Amino acid sequence: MDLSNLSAIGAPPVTTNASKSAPWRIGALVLLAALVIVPLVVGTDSYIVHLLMTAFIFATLGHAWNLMAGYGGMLSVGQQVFIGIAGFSEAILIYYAAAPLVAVWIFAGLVPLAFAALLVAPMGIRWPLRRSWALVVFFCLVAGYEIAVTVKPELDIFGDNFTRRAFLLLFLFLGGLPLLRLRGAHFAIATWLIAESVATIFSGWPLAGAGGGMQVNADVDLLTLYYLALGLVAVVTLGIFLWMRSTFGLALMAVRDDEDAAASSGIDVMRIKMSIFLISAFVTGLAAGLYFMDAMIITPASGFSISWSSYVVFVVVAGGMGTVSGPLIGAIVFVVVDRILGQMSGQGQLVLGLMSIALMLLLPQGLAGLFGRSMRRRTHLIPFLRSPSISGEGQ
Amino acid sequence: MTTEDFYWALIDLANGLMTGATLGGYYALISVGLALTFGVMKLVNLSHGDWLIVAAYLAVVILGLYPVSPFWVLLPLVPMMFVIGYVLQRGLLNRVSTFAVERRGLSPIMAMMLPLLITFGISTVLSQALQLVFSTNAQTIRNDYSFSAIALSQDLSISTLRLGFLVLAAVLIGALALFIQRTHIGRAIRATSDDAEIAALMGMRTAHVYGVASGLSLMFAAFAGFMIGMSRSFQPFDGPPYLLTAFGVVVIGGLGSLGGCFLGGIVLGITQVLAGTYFGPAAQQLAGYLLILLVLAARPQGLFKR
Amino acid sequence: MTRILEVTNLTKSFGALTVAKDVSFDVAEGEVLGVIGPNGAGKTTLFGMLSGHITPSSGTVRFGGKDITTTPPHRRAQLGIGRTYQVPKPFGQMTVEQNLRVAATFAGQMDQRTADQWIGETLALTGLSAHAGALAGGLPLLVRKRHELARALAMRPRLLLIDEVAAGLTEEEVSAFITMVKSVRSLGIAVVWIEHVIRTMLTATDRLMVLADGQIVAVGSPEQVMALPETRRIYLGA
Ligand SMILES: Nc1ncnc2c1ncn2[C@@H]1O[C@H](COP(=O)(O)OP(=O)(O)OP(=O)(O)O)[C@@H](O)[C@H]1O
Ligand SMILES: [Mg+2]
Repeated sequence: MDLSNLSAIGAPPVTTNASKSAPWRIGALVLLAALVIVPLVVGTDSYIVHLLMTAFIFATLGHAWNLMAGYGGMLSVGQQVFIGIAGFSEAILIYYAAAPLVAVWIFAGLVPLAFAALLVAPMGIRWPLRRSWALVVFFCLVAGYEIAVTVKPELDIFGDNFTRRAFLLLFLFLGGLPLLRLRGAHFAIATWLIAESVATIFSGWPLAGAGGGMQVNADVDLLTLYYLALGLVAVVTLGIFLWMRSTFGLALMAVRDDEDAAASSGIDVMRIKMSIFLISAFVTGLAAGLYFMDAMIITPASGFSISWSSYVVFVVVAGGMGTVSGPLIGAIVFVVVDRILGQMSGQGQLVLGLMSIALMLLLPQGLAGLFGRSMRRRTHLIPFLRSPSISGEGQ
Repeated sequence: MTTEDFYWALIDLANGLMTGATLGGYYALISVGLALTFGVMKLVNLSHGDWLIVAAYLAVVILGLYPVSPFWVLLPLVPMMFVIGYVLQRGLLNRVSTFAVERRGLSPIMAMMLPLLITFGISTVLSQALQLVFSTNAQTIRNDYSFSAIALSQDLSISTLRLGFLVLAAVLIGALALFIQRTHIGRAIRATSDDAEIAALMGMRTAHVYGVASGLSLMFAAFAGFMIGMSRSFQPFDGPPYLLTAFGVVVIGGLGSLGGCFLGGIVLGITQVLAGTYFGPAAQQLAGYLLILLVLAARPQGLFKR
Repeated sequence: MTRILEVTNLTKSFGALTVAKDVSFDVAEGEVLGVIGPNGAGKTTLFGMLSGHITPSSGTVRFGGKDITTTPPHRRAQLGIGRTYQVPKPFGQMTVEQNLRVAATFAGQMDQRTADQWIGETLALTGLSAHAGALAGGLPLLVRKRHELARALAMRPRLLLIDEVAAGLTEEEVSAFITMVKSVRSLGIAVVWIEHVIRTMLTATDRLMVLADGQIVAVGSPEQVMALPETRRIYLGA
């Protein structure tokens, strides 16, 4: 099956055609093999290896966002909350427990997953329990914390009183928030608010460096990170590819197109949304975990920066929303623009922003749409510039 | 509790309520532009906050060139921002309006996402461009009013600037409401916001109307940016928090309603100031965000709608 | 005959506005119940409460002998309640065939083979076979309405709720729909059918129910109900 054809927004998923799939499978395997060999050819400490690793990480982040926005119709501009939490969890585990690499990495995925679970948990519980759920979360947090502090005073991670209360309060609110019921701009802003709130907490948390940031001394060499990132992106790509061809993919697209009709057609809309939200958080956490092991330092400003969202949006929009190949293509463009051109000019993000605006106008289906769909799609190459836009003008 | 304690508790509360309420005018002015574009074309402009900062920087630049009394800067600034808004809408945002996207045969999901993604991109571009031109140093519009206050009693006082801005906000929002009710283009805006397709069928130039709405939106951003510059310092990356606050005010006040902005602003202002009074300055921002999240979750139609 | 749907004292208010007041009625297995009533009578809201999208303020809904008042919409679909929407809600970015497959897979819980076969039959019955590969979002209005019906049928429901398919269609198109409803009934599927243009549905309904201001004004055989002064007042006098 043609990877780039797979269910672009605006194109139906192509029904499986076994005879067509062979060249693509071989192509993908060859590419994977080539990427495995690259470090051996160019040298294990080469800049190219580092660039490729960065591309893998951003492709994975793109996949995670694409899963929510491109497939699920949930536009998040708060992915940085998972990124920041992953980075800090990792830093904390290394600094306080000196845990081994694999444990640290898994932890970086699990903590954002747990946070996401906390966010969506109220949706999984039927109405009558919703309010009490928030209370249960609140009391568990408070009780657990107080007991822990009584037993071991040095665990008092929140320092002064206010931060502690605010922290617990935050979780109380988030625990009661029906986040996934929000749509469109409301969902986007809510995710952004959550990210900002959590960032505020981390800026004052003594355990996490009290705003000054932490070192991430993972003691890992570039080559290991490279292969971990390659493995991650390969597994995630394959997973999404297979997932979208399963009945789950069918359900996901139905939910994206119309939630009410999807429910009337027997789909548990909330379960679908919860699953992609959780998976997105987990995958984002794993990718961010690798990123910060390489960066070796994290601050609240860098971990929770809104720039993460603009990067990820660029990666997916440039590649093609709602496609499997989109984030892969987009990540390559991203690395070229931001890391290569950007480092020369010092204005990577400005260029990225301008490019993403231009791409959305000229090529809303992304580059994958350009490569994927023969010449037919090319006639729509410049859809927004050719004719006036909204009703009333030029008629 | 002694009478003395009680007195000070009361003073704290009174100060908090008063500061919060005057802060309401400030927030109303910040958010009215967002409410306008939301009400008229269902557009949530994610770059709204950055435009406030752009306006503040423009004010500083103009005052640098012509060192007059700061209020004069509004004379060129406001029309300038109007023009920017109009051009931005006609040149860019109209091309991703719901109609444009649907007419292009893209899915409704794209129609929902493209405007958000584009304005998010604009937000990045604006803040990066500001950083490129002005570096990250904090700036402010120098003026003699920043620290002046009107004393109501020995222990109660109110910032002159804040009070001034409360009045300014009330006057401006009143003027906007009148403009929308009384003028021809105002009526066109209302008709378009009710049903753009019908308005277009009736011969209204929707593209122009949207342009004017966006122009007005940025015009208010000019006032708000000026006000921000007058009362605190600002940096290139300060936009997003203003956007979040503005969106919160719009949601609390009931989406798209102008009077609601005022009420929403006052509610948010009081919440923040009281949180700041009782939990320390760190809590101020957080309390605001949490209030907005709570309203989004529990009453997305706003606090004041039935 | 056994009752497939039993509605008792269903009431719904939006704030001060009461849209359904003590609505009680039954639907027998294999029966077609017509529902008519002026704009804003609460017909669509009633469907919302039957399909689970709207939670009633009070009252109960029983389906196949089970209380489903608090059952979420997707569970009700799986139990066998299919509905169409007054304003069609296709999965716009999927083909007609895929739309039907969603319903057959998730609500009908059919395996691939059964689904293939049933989807084929449904397409033929609704006259959509020629459109099977078309994107549902791009269908013209008439086809869109057929598609709406087809998707609800594709789950092979036990009870089908149809919300105003005839509005805006020509005489011929309407009679095509009536034929479809008749064949649906011959499959043993019970139908509740909301319609505005009453004449169109009379030949296909076993019973007719008149709803006004959220209350049942009359129920009975179509001839009886149409002869009642209340019905005439609502439809002719208003
Ligand atoms: N979510 C809601 N909130 C408030 N009022 C509502 C809501 N949904 C419906 N209503 C009101 O309930 C009343 C009944 O609406 P409903 O759509 O059920 O009528 P209907 O009989 O289907 O009308 P029509 O023939 O126009 O389809 C209307 O007055 C409508 O405005
Ligand atoms: Mg109706």
